[in-house]
Order: sequence, then structure tokens, then C-alpha cells
Amino acid sequence: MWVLDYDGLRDEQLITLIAHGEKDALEVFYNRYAPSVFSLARYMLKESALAEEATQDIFLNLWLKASSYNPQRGAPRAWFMSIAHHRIIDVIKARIRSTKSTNQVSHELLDIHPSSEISTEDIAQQNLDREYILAALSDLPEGQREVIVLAYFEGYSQSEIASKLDQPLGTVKTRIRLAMQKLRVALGKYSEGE
Amino acid sequence: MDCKAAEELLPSYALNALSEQETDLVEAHLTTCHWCSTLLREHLQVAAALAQGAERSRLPQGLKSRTMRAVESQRRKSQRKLGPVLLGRTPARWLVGAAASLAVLLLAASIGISVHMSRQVDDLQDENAGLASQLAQGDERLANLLLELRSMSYVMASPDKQVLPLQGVRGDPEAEGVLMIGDQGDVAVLMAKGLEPSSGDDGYQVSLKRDGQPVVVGSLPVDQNGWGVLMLWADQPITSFQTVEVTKDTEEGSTASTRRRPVLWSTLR
Repeated sequence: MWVLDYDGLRDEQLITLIAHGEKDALEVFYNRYAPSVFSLARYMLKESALAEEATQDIFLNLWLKASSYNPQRGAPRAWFMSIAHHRIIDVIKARIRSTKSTNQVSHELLDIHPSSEISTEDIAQQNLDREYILAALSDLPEGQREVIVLAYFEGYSQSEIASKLDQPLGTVKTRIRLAMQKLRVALGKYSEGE
Repeated sequence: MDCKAAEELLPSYALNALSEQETDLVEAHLTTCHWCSTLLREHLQVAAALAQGAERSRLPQGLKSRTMRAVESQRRKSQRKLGPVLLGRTPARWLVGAAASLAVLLLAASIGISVHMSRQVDDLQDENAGLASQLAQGDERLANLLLELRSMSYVMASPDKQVLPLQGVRGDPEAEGVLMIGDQGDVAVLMAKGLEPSSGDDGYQVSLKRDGQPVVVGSLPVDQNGWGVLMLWADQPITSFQTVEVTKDTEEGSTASTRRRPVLWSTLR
């Protein structure tokens, strides 16, 4: 019996099939995005067991909610990574902040260096992607980089960031907005090509 | 919330950095504002790219099989729930009467549709059977055709699909068609009849137009009976365009130059 080659399908086609209960389509979607989702979860949650649990929840949630995908809200990859990110933040809020002090602001991405130090000749494509993002972040003014790192990689809301940094909420909003504008320009070709 | 306020919050929304209340306000605005939805798409692309900034970790062994087992377990649970819920309730007598009346009305309305649809489903099934035998020979192009057939059946079976009649423009009095847009807005089936058969180099082109700018979304093959069916996939909502047009190459007088002539069209709003 012939079997449909799901690997050749586009993301939006896979999501349509997942919404109609096709498990093989979910498996291909998993192969495509689980490395990014798990890496992000592991990086933000800092615990492998929590990251595994979150990754499993994220794909189970995709299975249940694929029909809610609205192309008006973004390309499939951007939509899915946003859902994944949101779920990881939920885990942070539910399980990490309840048990740990959050007074210290420390994150390796706050100390990244300019892109001139990056050697790109002999590293794998995935690391190239990361170096590209780190280079774009490193080009931001420190205050803007700080709010992006706290919001995206630490999962703080803009109000929590204002309180944490003892800055007016308006300043935080402005920094996030300016940073996203600059990142959009810097990552334009990268994000369009995804 | 107006656009100015929404635009200020969209970057933080894309980063999932708003409070629940702010998130609700932004989402309510997005349901009615195409402009802000377009802006959000750009911010979400940036946010998704940021995810690649996380240090790469190797996927734990067994995570995939555990995830797929959890999905399978969820699927079985859903299937078990369906039976008792449908069978276990005793509806009120008036509800039975109302349902019966509604069923009669729906049946009458559906007879006309089903006669037409059953012919098309028969055609699709015939085509599907033919494809299956050819697929055994390993033709990859047919894999895509089979996917299209399956996707078409999803669109046609969806109760929330949007159905728009296509009108003939000129020179083709028999031409007519229908565009069925799936409930998620990104896929559609275009069916047309009464068109001149197309040959390999003489096809029909299907375009979506916004602000006068056409985006070609596919070629419509038309068979010897004047029938054509095309599955449309769009990376943005089909209804965000203003019109859909089916055009055909025609020769212009003695110069033998060609231009595209519209034969079918419909507004999308």
C-alpha cells in the first residue's frame, strides 16, 4: 500500500492534516520543530525534566488545538513557536518563580559580545543560526537588549521588568518597541526565509 | 482599543510579555483590524527567530515516543467520550419535535446539493482509485495530487466553509463556478464549468487581487467537458484579498500579442 510522503509537505499543510487527526502529520511536525522547542524550553527553564514535560505538553496541545491556527496571525512556524514560548512561560510562572528568588538579574545573553568575535567557518548550521541571532542582539543598546532578554528568554512581563529594573513602565515599553524594530531590520532576511 | 494603542503593545504581545488583561484587549482589537494583524505577523517572525538564540540542546532519547504515546492516549480518550455522550442523554419531547422538523428541512435543502455533490464525490473517488494504482509505480507528483484531493474533501465537508459563486465576465455565457473557502481561511477549492478546454500551453490562471495587485495562486486545468477544479493554498487569509479572478491568455488582433482576459470572478468580502 502506498503511503503519503508527509516530509515533503509545507507547515500549513501539516497543520491542516493535524487538525483532522492525522498523527503521521504531527510526527513530521515534531521532527521539524522539537529540536527548537526543546532547546528553548531547556534554555528558559534550566531543567531538563521540566523542558521535556513542557515539550510534550506543547505538541499535545498542538494536536488538540491545531484547528485554531489562524493564518492572519502569522506564518505557521511563528504561530507555533509563539504558542510554545507562551507555554514555557506558564511553566516558569507556575513552578520556578514560586520556589526561587528572582531578585538577581543574570543571564548569559546580557553579556554577549559583538559579532566580530564569532567564527562561522566550521560550526554547524544550527549554531550559525544562533550566532546570527546573538549578533543581532549584541548590536542593540544594552538597555534594549536587557528588556528583550528578560521578556523573551526569562519570561517576564513588561510590568515585571519595570519593577525588577526599577524603571518606569513607559521606558520599558519604549525599549521593547525600539528593540523589536531594530531586530526586525537586522533579522529581516533570516525570519522571512524561515 | 484603537490602532495607536494596539501598535504600542504589539511588540510585547509577540514576546508574550503582556498581562492577561492587556492580552485580551489586543486580541479583541486584532479580530477587527487587518492592519494590526499584518504588523503582528512581522513581530511574531522576529520573536520566532529569537527562539534560535537559545543554546542548542540534544533531544532526550525517548521523548518523541513518549509524546506520540500521550497523543495516542488523548485520541483514544476523545473517541471513548464521544459514544456515551451521544447515546446517554434523553432529549426533551419538544426538542425531539424541533429536531425532527429541522431535520426534514435540512434534508430537503440538502437533496439538491447532495445530488450535485455526490457526482463530484464519485468523480473524486474514481480519480482517487486511479491515482492509487499509479502511485504504486512511485510517481511523486501524484502524491501531491492525492493530498489535494484529501484537502478538497476536508474543505467540502467543513460546515463552516464560505461558499462564493463565481460569475462569468464576458464572452463565456456558460461560464460559472464556485469558490469554497475552508474554515481556517487559508485553503479553498475553486470549481468551474462552461469553460473552453485548456491545452498545455493555453491554461487558465487563478489570481487573488488586493488594491489592484494580482497574486497568481495557480493554474486551472479545464477538461474536455469544460470542467476545472483547483485547490488553492495561501500563506495569508484568502478573504484578506478583494477579488478572485480566473483569466485566460487571448491573442490580440493581427499583432498576435497576448493578454490575459478575465473569464470568471467574484468579490471576496
